[in-house]
Amino acid sequence: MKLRTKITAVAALVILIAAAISDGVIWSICRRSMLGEAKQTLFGQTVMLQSKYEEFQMHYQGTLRDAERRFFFKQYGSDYVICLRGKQEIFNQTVLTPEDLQNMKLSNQHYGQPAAVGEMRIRGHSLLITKIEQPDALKIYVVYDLADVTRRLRRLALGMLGVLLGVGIPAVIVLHLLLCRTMKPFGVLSDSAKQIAAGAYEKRAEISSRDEIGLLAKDFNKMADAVQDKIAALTDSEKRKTMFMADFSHELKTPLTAISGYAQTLRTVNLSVDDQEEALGYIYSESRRLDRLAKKMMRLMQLDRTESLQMTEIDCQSLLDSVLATCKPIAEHQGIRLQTARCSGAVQGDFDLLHDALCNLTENAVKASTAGQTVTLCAENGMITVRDEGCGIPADEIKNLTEPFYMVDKSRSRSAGGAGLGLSIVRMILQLHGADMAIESTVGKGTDITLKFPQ
Amino acid sequence: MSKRILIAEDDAAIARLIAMNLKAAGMESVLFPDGEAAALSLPADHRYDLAILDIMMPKKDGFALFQDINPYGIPVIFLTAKDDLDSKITGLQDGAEDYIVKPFEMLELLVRMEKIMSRTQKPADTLTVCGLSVRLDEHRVLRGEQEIPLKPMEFELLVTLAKHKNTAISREDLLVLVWGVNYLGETRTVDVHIGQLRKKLGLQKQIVTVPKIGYRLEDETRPEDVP
Repeated sequence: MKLRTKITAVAALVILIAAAISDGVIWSICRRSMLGEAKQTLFGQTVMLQSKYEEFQMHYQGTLRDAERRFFFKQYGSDYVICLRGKQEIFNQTVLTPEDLQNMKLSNQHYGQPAAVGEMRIRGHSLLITKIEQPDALKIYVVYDLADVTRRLRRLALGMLGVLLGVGIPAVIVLHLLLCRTMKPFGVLSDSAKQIAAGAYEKRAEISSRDEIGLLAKDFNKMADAVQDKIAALTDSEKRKTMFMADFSHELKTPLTAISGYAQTLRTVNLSVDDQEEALGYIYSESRRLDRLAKKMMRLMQLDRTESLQMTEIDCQSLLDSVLATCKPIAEHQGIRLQTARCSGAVQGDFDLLHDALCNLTENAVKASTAGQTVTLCAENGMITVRDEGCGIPADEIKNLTEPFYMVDKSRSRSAGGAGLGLSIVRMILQLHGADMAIESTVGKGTDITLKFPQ
Repeated sequence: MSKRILIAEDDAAIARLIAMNLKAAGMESVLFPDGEAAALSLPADHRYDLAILDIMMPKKDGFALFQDINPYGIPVIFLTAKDDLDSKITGLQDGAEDYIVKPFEMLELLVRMEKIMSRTQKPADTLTVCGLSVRLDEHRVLRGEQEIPLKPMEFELLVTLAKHKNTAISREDLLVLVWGVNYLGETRTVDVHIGQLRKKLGLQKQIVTVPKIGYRLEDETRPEDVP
């Protein structure tokens, strides 16, 4: 059952019971007061009759006969007086018989009441009766028909029921409508929740009220924001992983295709000596490429597993000298001058890893340069810069540089022996150090890569 | 006239590998290291019988290059490491003749190329190999003016060897290519027919047994020697 139906039903029931109880109480008060009034009237009539009768009796001085009595009763209340002697009816024009009166129970005569009074229902009549015992063995009953009181009470009851229904039903309807209005935001909330569950993570509940529902909606939207962010992050990381796997398998397949293709060709095709030499050369160089790729992958995985480093204070001068010593042969082989400048200060870190990262950057700088150009390493204020005068990197490529297997110029990097993993490795090493990498480059003029270490 | 094949492939090792094999099969290949270079050369020279395109290439990818090649009516094979369904469907729906995923078998590439070229071009009536003229439509083999009678399967075997001249074909592959079924373990059939061909055509030296692989029909007439 819907909440609003439930609340409406409960409210309707409570209203009904409360109204019924209060109506019942009012009705019974009214009834008592009407009965009291009727009793007073009856007593009045009784007293009046009694005094008149005594006066009448006095007038005849004890010689009153039944004929006179009948005359008297006919004069004063023919339709509500009964006069009996024993069981003999002297005067009776009412619906009652002497037997009825015999069975009647009378209450004791209270103080202040002129006569004993009794109530009886008989043959569809509701009657109030007083009894006066006369010294001459006569019993006089005064009967008061409560039909009028009953009718008035019934009318009152009907009126109350009418008011109860006439006010209660519209009230319940209005309550229901109000509840529908109040509950509407829940419907909106529920719809949004369903849509979000179905995958529309950008959906939000649009509820502007400032009550508890509004607060709930606000919290709900906060939750949806968090879910959306998390899902986006997960999707992104999943996408990266898929991309990585796709790129990795591509990087694997290409050399493998070449190696197996050349081997098969050597086995089956009747090649000239030159072609045979070329095929063997490719098999060798492609397997070297696979070897490099495997080593770099191992390095990446190793770094990925590393959680914290043994940090020591490293003197920049000795770090850069060591990098210079490692990279000099490659640079000189390509006719590029490699130098250090302004080495001062120290950084916190792992010497071997930083040496690795800087060698990677230096090799990249050398690859980007042409013979006769200079690659400069310098260190200042916790920053280490690798500067080249080479080909530069287009601005829109810079943000992709650290993606695994990303190469600005694939054929050129491959022929220079790259696998596209160098900068990914550098990035991971820097992450472990809490350091940043800034790349500034102008196409045709050269590139500055600056590593900024936390102070 | 030898077939001319366009190869757009950014990996020099793969490009040279295909070119070497095509040369051995008597075809001429023109290599391009990226899509743009290939596209730019097309207006001046588009006399190709087939194009083999890599998809992931610098400057212009294979799909884009395909749009440039298509107007010249050159049949295209995509040869790529991308083996996701989307790329395959895109490639084939665009109208490429075939889609081959790396790593690939060279023989498979050659057979597929041959099928495509026989479908898109009028097949050659006559193959000339080792001084023999093999008339495909007439099912006859002539040395000079003299006909050499061959049984149907011997003829088919000769045609297959001639089409893939200078390349060794394994007994299993020959069974599939000539007999068209997997005669598992029945490679003796191939040896018997090879023996018959050698004897009837006098090609004891030209039909070479390659140890552990199969047979190769060697024909020293190189593409560059063809007038």
